[in-house]
Amino acid sequence: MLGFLLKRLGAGVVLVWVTATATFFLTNATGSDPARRIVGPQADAATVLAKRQELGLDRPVLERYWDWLTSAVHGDLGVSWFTNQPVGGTVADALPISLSLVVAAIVLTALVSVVIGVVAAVRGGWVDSALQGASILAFAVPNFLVGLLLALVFAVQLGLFPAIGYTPFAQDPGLWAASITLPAVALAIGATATVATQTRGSMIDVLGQDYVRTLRSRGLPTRSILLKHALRNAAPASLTVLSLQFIALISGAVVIEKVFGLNGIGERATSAASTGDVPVVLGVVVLTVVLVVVVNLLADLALGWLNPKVRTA
Amino acid sequence: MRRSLIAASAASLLLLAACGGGGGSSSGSGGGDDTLTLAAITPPSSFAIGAMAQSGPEDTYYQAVYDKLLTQDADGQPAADLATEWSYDETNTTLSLTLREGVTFTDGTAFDADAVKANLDVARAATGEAGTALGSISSVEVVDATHVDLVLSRPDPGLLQSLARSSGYMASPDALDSPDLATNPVGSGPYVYDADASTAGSDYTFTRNEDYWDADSYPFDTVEVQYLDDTTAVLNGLRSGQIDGSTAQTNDLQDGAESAGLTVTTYTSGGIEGIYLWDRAGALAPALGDVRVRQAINYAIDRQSIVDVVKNGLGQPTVQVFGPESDGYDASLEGTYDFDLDKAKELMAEAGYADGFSMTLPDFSPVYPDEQAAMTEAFSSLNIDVTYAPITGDQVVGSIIGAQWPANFFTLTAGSPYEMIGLTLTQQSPFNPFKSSDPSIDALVQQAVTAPADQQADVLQQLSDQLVEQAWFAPWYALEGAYVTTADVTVQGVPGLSIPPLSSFAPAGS
Repeated sequence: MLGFLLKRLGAGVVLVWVTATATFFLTNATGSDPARRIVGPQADAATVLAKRQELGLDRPVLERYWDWLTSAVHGDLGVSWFTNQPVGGTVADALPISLSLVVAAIVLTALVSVVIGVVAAVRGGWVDSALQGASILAFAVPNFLVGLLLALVFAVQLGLFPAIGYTPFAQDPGLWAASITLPAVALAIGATATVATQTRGSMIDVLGQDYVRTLRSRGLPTRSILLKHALRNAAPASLTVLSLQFIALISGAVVIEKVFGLNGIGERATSAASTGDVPVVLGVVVLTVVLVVVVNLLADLALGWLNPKVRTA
Repeated sequence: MRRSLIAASAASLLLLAACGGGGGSSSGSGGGDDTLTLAAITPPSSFAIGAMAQSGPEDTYYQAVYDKLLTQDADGQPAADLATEWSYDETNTTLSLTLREGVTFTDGTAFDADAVKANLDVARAATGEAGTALGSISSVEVVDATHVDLVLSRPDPGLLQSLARSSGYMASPDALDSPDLATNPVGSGPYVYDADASTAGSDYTFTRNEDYWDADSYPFDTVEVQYLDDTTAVLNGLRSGQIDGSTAQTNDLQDGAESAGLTVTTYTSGGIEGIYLWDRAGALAPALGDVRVRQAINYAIDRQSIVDVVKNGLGQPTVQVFGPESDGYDASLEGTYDFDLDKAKELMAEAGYADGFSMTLPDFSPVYPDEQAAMTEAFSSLNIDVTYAPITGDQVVGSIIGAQWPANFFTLTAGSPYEMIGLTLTQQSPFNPFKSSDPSIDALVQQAVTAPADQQADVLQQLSDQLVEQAWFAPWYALEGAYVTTADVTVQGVPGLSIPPLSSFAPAGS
């Protein structure tokens, strides 16, 4: 198990390095001129040149890459060209917002999709058809549209939740939960449909297997068969889909953050990309890839816990 | 067991979320008499002296913490702030300022002539917009504690307006050398930045500076500025009362605000929008070198329809680049290019371009689809064939200044005719990319810069007359800014400023 973990960690480090390197060279190939943008339209050529030197843009690209890489390895992601904030701090400020959103969405997805999947598999008939129909609908509707509707009804009309903004957990846990509920629900709906469909399929497969029939014939309570035996064997497939969904949710959060005025990782990424703030773009990319690696690692661990066969793989 | 533990924690998280409901209006804390919550479409780039943007949406953050040497009065003209009196010498090359007494920065340092010199010296050396606007100052000389002379290398009639904008902001001299100033301002302004209650890059909280000398102009105890760049988020924030005000930069926002019963305040914002004809020498598009072609383009524009359709009525049709609020504006020139396609075609034929010509312009349709459509329509009515080249937002200014386009749809915002001259008319002007020159225009520019104050308006209007006659530009309208507020707050725009100043916000009914 330890060897497996180390191998996964090693692959993760390589992934982070490759992605960051690709991003660095891609952002350098855009041909944009951040120095001109920073000093403004009235500045003369000498000022633009001075700014370019200040940002180090006059140096060879490989030299700049090496500097960035060595600093990044030591935990220093540089300073934003436009806001003068350290990138580490900028990303650290935005991370709790996006993580709150995505983790809440994934928890919602996991809980709701298991319930829907199991009920649909066990009850069959019209319940199954209804739930499947609802899943297709939920999957088809774009999450920003759901977000818009939720904000309009539950925040603007009913005033039950805030329409915009984020309250840190440390400041007020109740308001924190309120501020992420609507965006998390909007984000979770599509993922729930996907995972529920997967869970339903695996449950139907597992429930049709011989050992379940044997358990039934020995008089075990249905509840125990379902939750203790069948779900445990149906879970790995759902868990894999869920971990993939987590990654999809991070990108889905970009749009949802905009709708709810949450200045999370997505907002930082889009504004940095549109202004050409390369240090911030790189910081966001590194952090997002690290997140993806960690989540995959956790999913692998969970799979191992659910299914001993995986541990030896 | 472990699984039930996970399930239990997950369930409690959901429960917590459900119980957290009802916090709708309290998290934003807008709407109250003592807190003003505004949305801004950008976070502040830097609070460092000289590094700040010259005007625009970032100004709200700066105004909270800093005082300026001068400010604008209700008509947009320079007015007293930290400098109470100012005057030029006979040659217009020394500006003498008398400073307000008894002002202290929030770190306890006194504001005096040495502080002004320290700030202006740092600003002049800086590379930001606020710094580069001070290029005419060659030295700052302290006369005594409350008097300072700004010695100029050349007359600069736009300097007073610059000092009434970001170039005039004063930080504590003790904080000037600290790199920390970019993110942690120390000024003498009406409010103090509360870093603990703020999230940099997202939301900024400012609390009242108890020692402020002009507290009456700022009725709110706390000002919160939230960075929100999404129309839906801004509208939802306003409708739920979480924010009190926001600039209404899009038609969607204005329409949404009006149908939601919010208040929309309009004002002349100083921007001139239209087709800027850069290539007057015909280097890229030879046809534009002919004044008749430039005049024909002016005649082919239905300005009032564009204002009505594209701008929701928020604009004043004009043929001049000096704003209607400025002393360089000559009302009698309007009507020079009333929409007349026959006349336009006649001029094109006279110039030998009855069949039109072709040129490549930057494609702004992702951001300005309606404006670009209006421009295309005007051009195609004269058989001018336009190819649009893709461009990213951050390449726009650089490519225009780099003389890459013969013309394009654009907005230039100037606080005064002098700023517009500096931007577009001289050989050094960034927005004179092809170094256009004309004896009569050059002479009037020279005259305007050196004219005594009481003759400036007359010379500027003659200059405007020449610019219109020679069709150096094809302006469409002077932009009108729109600001949306809830019923709890009132606001007043200032001509020439794209965002109303912080001092113009007040609780409704006060």
